[in-house]
Amino acid sequence: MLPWNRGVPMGRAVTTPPTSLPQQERIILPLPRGETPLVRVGDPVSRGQRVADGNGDPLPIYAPVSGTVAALDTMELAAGGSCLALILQNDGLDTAADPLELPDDEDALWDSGVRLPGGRPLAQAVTQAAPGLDTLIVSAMDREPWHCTEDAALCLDADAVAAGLAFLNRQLHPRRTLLAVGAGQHQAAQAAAPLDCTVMTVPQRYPLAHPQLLAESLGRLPPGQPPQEGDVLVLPVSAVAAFGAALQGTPPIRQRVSVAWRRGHALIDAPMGAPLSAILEAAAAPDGPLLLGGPMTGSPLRHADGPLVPGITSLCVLPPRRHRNGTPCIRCGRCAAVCPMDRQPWLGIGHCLHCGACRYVCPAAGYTPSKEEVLL
Amino acid sequence: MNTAPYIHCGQSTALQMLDAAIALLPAAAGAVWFFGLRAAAMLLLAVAAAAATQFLWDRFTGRQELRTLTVLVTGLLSALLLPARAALWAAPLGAVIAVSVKVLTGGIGQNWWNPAALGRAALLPLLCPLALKDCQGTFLMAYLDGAIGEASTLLLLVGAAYLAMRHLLPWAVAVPYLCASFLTAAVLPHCDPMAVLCWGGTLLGACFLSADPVTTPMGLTFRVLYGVFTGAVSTVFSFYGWGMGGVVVATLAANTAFRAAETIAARLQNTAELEQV
Ligand code: SF4
Ligand code: SF4
Repeated sequence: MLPWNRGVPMGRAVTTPPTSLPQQERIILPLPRGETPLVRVGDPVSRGQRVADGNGDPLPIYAPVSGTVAALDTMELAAGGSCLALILQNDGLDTAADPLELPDDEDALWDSGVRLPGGRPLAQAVTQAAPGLDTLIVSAMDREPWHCTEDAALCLDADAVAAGLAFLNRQLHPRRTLLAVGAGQHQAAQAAAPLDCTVMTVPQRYPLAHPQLLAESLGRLPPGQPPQEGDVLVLPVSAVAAFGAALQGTPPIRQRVSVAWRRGHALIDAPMGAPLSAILEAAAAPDGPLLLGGPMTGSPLRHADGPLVPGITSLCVLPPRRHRNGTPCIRCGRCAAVCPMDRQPWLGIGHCLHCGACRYVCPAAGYTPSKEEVLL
Repeated sequence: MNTAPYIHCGQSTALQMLDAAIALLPAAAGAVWFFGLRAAAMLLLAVAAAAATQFLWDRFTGRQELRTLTVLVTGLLSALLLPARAALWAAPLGAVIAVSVKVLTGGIGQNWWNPAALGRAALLPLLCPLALKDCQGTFLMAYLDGAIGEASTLLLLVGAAYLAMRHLLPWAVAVPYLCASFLTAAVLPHCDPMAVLCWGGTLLGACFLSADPVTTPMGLTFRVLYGVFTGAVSTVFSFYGWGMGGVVVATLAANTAFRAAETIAARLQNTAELEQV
């Protein structure tokens, strides 16, 4: 049995070589924030061409393949709901547009079109933290067990990370730049060595990679005054890599998606707008209930044919589960021992990260998981 | 599918109780070795009585507590806390009282008092003449005049080690308990601290009665205080003639005091938090 009071074990952070998704005929580019299309139905597009401009948050969208605009129609999204989307017919020729040229100031962040996992613009996070930033933490740790997209981003795109990091250091002038690496991510630690930052090793336990916990544990490590609130900015290394690639001329038109199930995982390199069902097929994932995100905080995948959009970096296939009634709380205190915020979950007070670690360890949980589920 | 998280560590109430019961098996085997078939009969009757009582109560209340396997622990402990000279019906009677009071005070999770300790305490009036008087002798291997479970400290230690291995041993209770027992014995006149420490009853109280999560406090501070209180009081009681009875009475007193304190503390904390908001 695992020492349960140290958090949830992070199963696999070691990168597998990514598989490229085969060419998709139809690419769906949703415009969920009311983006204005810059192309009309029937227009030819080339890979990397700017096809829509942002309105709400001014982030542009770039075409991931070359071909023609087949339609502008309402499409269903993977997380549920639907919105207007540009539908591209892939011509398979992969004609590239001119490389992206970004200005050397803050606008580059917006023009790059890079979003953080979850969908928030990278530019927004950076501009909000910019004045008086003390510590920039780039996290190469995956947020959830089973997944390895962050690890892969650092191992495979070290050049792009270096470019992105150099830009951020120049723009933000943080007093310190730290790179958080999990204790087991040896390859990532090697890749991080030449970067312009201090590499910090963090125990590989969920939920320690939560930005707030990283900020607390790393942001105050060296002696001195504890930084004020907002003085620490935590960015996932995948976003820094995507931004670095944009600086080098490639807009974020492809994304690595980690598909994980109990016995295995796969890393799929897919163009934005590819249907998630194709990604699952390429990963040779078993059948089962599907999740967007990780097994701890993921949400059900409502529409498997929905397109890959920025923000989706991981998918989970859950084992079938047997439902059983739980027991009343037996006051064992495991939930409090595991809680990273030192809460006493049964009191329901204090700030909660909604990490789910307390429910993971609770012996009275509302269901008894099948054995498959137990052996991570 | 319900809500996140979608994976679980696999621990369940039933597994925890099963582990606690397994930890009692060495002591139970020792009891059978030292006291023969009589001890075996006591153990079996107590477990059967506990299970039957729980089954009937489950029928009546509509809850499903039998499958949490608490009856295994309650039954085994009910027998192990009794001396071999007790009547054969004493162990099952204790188990019936233990389970019934647990159910009547709200069932698993809600009950304030350690069921086995309560069953044993209820039998105290019946067993007084047999109470343990002398707290000296060689305790480590076999002490044959007390409860059948306290006969061998060594076997209890094996069980405690198993609990520790399964992360079920409440260190925050057990260590202060043992320290407090030792210090109290050192203060009491004519009492040998080492003998008290090596007495199986002390270990039963420190590691097994306190390993019931429901009736032991949850917070670290309360746990330590609980251990100190129970260790000191049980040593005094058992030294002045109650033997195992002293341990269970001390446990019940601590259960009451600390559950009340915990409830009040939680209320206060809740109110304070609400006022801040
Ligand atoms: S109480 Fe909140 S922060 Fe603590 S373990 Fe549970 S979900 Fe995580
Ligand atoms: S909520 Fe679960 S983990 Fe927390 S004390 Fe109760 S039974 Fe134990």
